[in-house]
Amino acid sequence: MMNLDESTLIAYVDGELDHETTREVEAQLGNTPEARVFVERLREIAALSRVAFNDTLHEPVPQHLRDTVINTITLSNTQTPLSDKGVATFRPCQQTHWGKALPMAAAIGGLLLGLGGGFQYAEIKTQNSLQLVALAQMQDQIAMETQLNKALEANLSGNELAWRNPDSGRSATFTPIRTYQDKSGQYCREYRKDITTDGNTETTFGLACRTGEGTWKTKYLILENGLAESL
Amino acid sequence: MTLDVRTQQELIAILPRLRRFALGLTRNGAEADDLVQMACEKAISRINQWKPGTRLDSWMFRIIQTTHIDRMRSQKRRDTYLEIIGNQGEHIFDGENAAEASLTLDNVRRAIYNLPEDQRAVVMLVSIEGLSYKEASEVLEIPMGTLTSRLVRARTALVRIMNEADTDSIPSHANALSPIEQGA
Repeated sequence: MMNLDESTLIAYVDGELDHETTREVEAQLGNTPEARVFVERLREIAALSRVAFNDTLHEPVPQHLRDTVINTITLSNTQTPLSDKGVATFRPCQQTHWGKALPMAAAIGGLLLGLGGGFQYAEIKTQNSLQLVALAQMQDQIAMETQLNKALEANLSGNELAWRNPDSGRSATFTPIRTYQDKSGQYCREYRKDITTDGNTETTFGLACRTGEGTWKTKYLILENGLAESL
Repeated sequence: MTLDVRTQQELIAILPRLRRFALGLTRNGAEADDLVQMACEKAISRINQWKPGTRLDSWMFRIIQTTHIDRMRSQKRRDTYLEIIGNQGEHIFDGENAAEASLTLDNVRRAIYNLPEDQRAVVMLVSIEGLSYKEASEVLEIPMGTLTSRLVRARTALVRIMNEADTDSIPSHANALSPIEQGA
């Protein structure tokens, strides 16, 4: 029997334990209420911490900082890896996206998900803009909401649910990341949503809580457009 | 020194995250931007030390961290910091619920800001940037054992402080908590 000390529980929450130890911890959590409360509190504070530091991510970067990077550099296009390969073989879109997604996945790192990149999102803004966009897009939105709800309701953490609308060409994946209960016993899940429209993938991280029978309501939502856009 | 376009673009793309990490270290927006600026200048001047294919963000975090420590040593800014902490959290959200939510968020931010320097760096990298323990220990150039013990101290302190703050665990109507553009 292992000992559920604080450092083990913290490593557990951070996804730093191996598979076997994780299972052991989970088994013991079942009959250690204090440890369970501690774990929930850790997760909650970690989630709140990420949200608390999001402001910086969606603020525009001061121009002088961008200039520091842009102006002091001698550009050498010919040395980029892409050009090295000479007249390129055709790269299908999908491959390009993986190329974009991988550094981001690396930046996120393992089981832990940081909220990387520049963010900008407001639930309310989306509601307003819905009135303006085409009906097709609206249908996609509704369909994606439904899929997200489905993923949150049915998928284990780490398992993605994929969706695609062949008419609009839009596709998306929805991946619950972690699950926990807040003080009132309500279930909440962090999730990741990748929406690909016209070749651009937007990654969003959210925190949703189960409000009714099978209904999940997003409480924090953050849109990423950083790395994927520029790489 | 030349920097290829892709690296340049990647560096620009991670600037928001670099600013966030720098904010965690300095606890002040203007200081954070100064720090990021210095770190970028340093990075560009020694870009040949960065191995393409390795993580640019980790490398930049390390430069920011070491630059910050140098600055701390050369400038005694404790008084400034104390003053700054008092001014944190004047974020404007509309709606009562958002205000409630922002209060919780302010508490978390304040609690993190009040951690000792070395613990705060660890929390910023692991909890907020989402680095693995191994990656974070490489960025900070400390052994894994040191990293985990700092992390345990920091996390237990945060739990204690947040429990004392006696706030609602998760604000119940937080969807008004959009990342509203803040006045510069």
